[in-house]
Amino acid sequence: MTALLQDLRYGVRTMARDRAFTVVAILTLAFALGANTAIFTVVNAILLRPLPFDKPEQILRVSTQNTINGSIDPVLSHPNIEDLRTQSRSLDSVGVWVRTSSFFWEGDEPVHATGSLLSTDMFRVLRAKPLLGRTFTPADDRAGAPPLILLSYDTWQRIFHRDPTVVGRVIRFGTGNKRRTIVGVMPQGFVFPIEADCHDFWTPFHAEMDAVDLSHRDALFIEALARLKDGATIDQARAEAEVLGRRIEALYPAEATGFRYHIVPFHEQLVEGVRPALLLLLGAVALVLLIGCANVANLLLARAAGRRREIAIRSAVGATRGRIVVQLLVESVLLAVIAGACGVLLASWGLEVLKAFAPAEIPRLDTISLDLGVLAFTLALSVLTGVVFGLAPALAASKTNLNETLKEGTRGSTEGKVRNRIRNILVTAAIALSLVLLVGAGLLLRSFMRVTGVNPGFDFQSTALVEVSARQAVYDTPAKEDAYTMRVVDAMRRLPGVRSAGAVDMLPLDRNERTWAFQIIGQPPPPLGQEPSATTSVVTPDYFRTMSIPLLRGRDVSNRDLTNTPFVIMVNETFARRWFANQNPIGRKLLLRSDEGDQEHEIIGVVGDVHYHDLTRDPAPMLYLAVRQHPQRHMHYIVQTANAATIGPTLRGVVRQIDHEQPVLDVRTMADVRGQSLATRRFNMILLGVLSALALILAAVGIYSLMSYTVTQRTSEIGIRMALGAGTADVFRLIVGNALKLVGIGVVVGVGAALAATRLMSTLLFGVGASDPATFAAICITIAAVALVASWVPARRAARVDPLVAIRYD
Amino acid sequence: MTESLIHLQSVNKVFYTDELETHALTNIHLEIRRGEYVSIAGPSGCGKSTLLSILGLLDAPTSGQYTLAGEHVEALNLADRARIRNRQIGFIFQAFNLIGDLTVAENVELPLGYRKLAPAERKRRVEEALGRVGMMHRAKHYPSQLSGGQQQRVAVARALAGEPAILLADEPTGNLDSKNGEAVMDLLRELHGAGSTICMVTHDPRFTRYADRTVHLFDGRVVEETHERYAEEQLADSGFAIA
Repeated sequence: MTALLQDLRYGVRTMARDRAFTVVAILTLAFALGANTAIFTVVNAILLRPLPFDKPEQILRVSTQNTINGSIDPVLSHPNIEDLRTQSRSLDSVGVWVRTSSFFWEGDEPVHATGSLLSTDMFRVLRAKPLLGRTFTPADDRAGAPPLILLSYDTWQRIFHRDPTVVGRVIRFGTGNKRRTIVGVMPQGFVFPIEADCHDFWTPFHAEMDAVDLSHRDALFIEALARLKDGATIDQARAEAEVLGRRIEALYPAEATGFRYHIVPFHEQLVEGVRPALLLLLGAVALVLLIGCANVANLLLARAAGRRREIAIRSAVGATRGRIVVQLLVESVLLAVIAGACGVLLASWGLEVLKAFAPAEIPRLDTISLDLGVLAFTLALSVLTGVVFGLAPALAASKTNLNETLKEGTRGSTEGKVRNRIRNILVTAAIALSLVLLVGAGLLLRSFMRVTGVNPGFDFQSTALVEVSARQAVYDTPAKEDAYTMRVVDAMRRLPGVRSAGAVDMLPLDRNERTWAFQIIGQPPPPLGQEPSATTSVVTPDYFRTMSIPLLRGRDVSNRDLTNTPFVIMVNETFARRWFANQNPIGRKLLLRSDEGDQEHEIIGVVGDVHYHDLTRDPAPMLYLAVRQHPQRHMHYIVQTANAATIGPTLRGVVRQIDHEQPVLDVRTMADVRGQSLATRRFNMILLGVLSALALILAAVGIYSLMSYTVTQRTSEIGIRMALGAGTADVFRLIVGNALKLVGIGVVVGVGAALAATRLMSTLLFGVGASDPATFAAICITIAAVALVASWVPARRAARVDPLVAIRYD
Repeated sequence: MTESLIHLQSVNKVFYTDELETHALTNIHLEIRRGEYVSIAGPSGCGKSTLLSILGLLDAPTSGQYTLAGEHVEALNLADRARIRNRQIGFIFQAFNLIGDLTVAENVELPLGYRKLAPAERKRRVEEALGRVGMMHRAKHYPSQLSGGQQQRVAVARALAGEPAILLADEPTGNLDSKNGEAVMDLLRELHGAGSTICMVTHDPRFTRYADRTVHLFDGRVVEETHERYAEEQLADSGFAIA
């Protein structure tokens, strides 16, 4: 213990003496450890930390699996959920929810809020207890029960100002004048659904669904969670569900052909979308740390050369090699722990930035924070780091030739090859590792550029929109909904500077989708369960013109397409090509199997494709219905104007002018919508880009340090060479050539490693292969250029060596 | 009369520091002819090494003229000085100054690499130079694997490989024991016998006798010149020999 304290004291003194070394080493490690701490914090919060419910491992996510096409749909029908709930013996409870949105009122001002309808059983699944009042009872969750609402902690704080007497209060809720009683407030940190930002309030599922026909097995719109009974396993639940699914398929072939339950642990399902990117980032920061370790090890090796005499004296007075190694390791661990503390500070700032820019799709973002577990991780990592980067230099330094060193021998030949080998290997490794990271970032950047280069099929630069859900209390019939929609579109079309106006219910690239099955009249009906389906949107006349989606054949929907005229439909190019090949689809008829029943529609036009779901996916077949035949309450009103970025307030004003109580859900430009669809991809790219830049800087510092040290170490040799006739250019070439030789080896090793590593990220790429030659070439050139710059200054210093002085240099 | 290879005329070297002006060499006149073996002797600090540095174009005189093989070299730029060092001058240092990372053969080849010689020609010269100093069998060894005497023989081979006009030796026996020192001096004498021009700095009076002529320096000035070979020959003619 005394020896350890002595070593620590000496370590502190050494650090204070070699300030430049200490600062560079601590900064290098602090950035590397900080990046690791930040990313581990995110991984810990999202992937590792259990869900904030009692026995979270018992909670399962239940979805619909279609065995015919292999697809998995996160939603189920109510009868299929009920069958599982009542017949499974391994499940304790099955809860359901449907996302929704509505309005609280602060005086006359509506406040938009998002929430969900929850079944009573959901509280049993989650084992969640309220902070105030109670959750829903079975009596609350039935048709005809009085309307109730449960508040989130945030809503209670934001809208009800933490009023402790809020339970029992009757409030105005929604766009009509309906009243609703507050039954409770959930505690801080209770967030459900976890994966979506819609947890301001909860209302009872069955009471709200009173008017909805839940009996159809093919009406998939409800999400479900289940909890295992104590002692039951997920395999038992899956086996039961498999038997039940087969039985349902056999009993209801018209509605459930190909149906199966898909059951996975809730946590696994929740994070599966972000897992690859997070693991990629975790790998990336680990590489950054390795590079940092290589750099600091190199610095330590250089410093150890200067401490050879001190170590020889220690040996001469009786220190064993092990004792010297321990002393040097104590110094390196001390350095790493101080760097770790600085890294935690950097990480806490970095996490705030990261959370601010993270896309909303990342689940459990609000739970990301530095905690004791993370701090323990950083401490352990720091100690490990200190040992990793300190071990090789300590072993090398402790192997000093006593006799030679103490004699201060002047054998007349410069330092041999072996001593330099470790340093060269470390720098080569740093270059190889940074190349792997840079290639990864380069591929993401190229992917992003490819994605942003994709033509979405519509004009996103001069279009703006306002999202409105017409008040149900006022616009309570299809005719009123239709009238409201046409009135808003007309008002917007008359705005100054607006070239065109239209509306659509499901906006492209906005993560909403509605698919309807259809049958082409005149063709043999498909087998049960294999009806084709297509994404369906409802549009006003001029929607396509406003969005600059070209009309390729036929005509647009018009104001003459009303409920008392034959139903019409438009299709996109992909739909026409897939289902009508070389035939003209105009005039052909489709039987749409919608939630409004089977309806015959005549195809009147073909429009250009748009990337509806995602810019990275090929355009899917699409159907467009006429809004005047299928009025919708929830619409996106779009204008084409040169002032898209500034017209928002005017659009909001138009909505208010028509109905001053009508809330506006959102005002955006289509460029915003497009940008939002790229947010996750952009976030991953920026994060990996920052880490790669850090890696490149560290590698450059490593090359610079090594070359500087090399010049100092080889001053005598350089002097000899100059005495023998080497010119400044020869010396310059010697140093830069040495650096480029190391870089060459590093690049070859790095390219090999990158070819293997980038295969793991192929799911994150778009339009560019994991071994894209252009990216690899660009990164190799970048690294070579950086190495050239990093070795330039030491090389210039070497070229200015005075041979006379250098020859006498000791 | 053989032609003049080196001619120093009124050469001065002054070192300036913040407060001091140190006259290392004062009004040096020196002539070395082709094929001559000249030693420069004197006590420590008398300016021997400074003079040799100027002769080797490692340093420039503060004033005066320096003519090497008929060319004024006192005011050349760095690149030209490097070129002349490479082609005209062979250095033998007290501390050998071999490069530890290079083998014996690579060390000898080093000066040849700074002029555009074909690889075959470089190889020929390396082998020839190593052969002349009896170190061919050690061509693939590293300097650390050799004794001091062997290292100095390699250094001599390196100086010879470039076929320079003059060999400049700075205390070539200073780091060697007496036996190895004698061997190196014998080697230099052999080279001189074969026609090499040699200028050697030494403070050891035993070795000045190997030279044709010894220039004695004191406080940066030439105070005396003695003609050892001439004296030896005179004595030999009289039936005596130098011990």
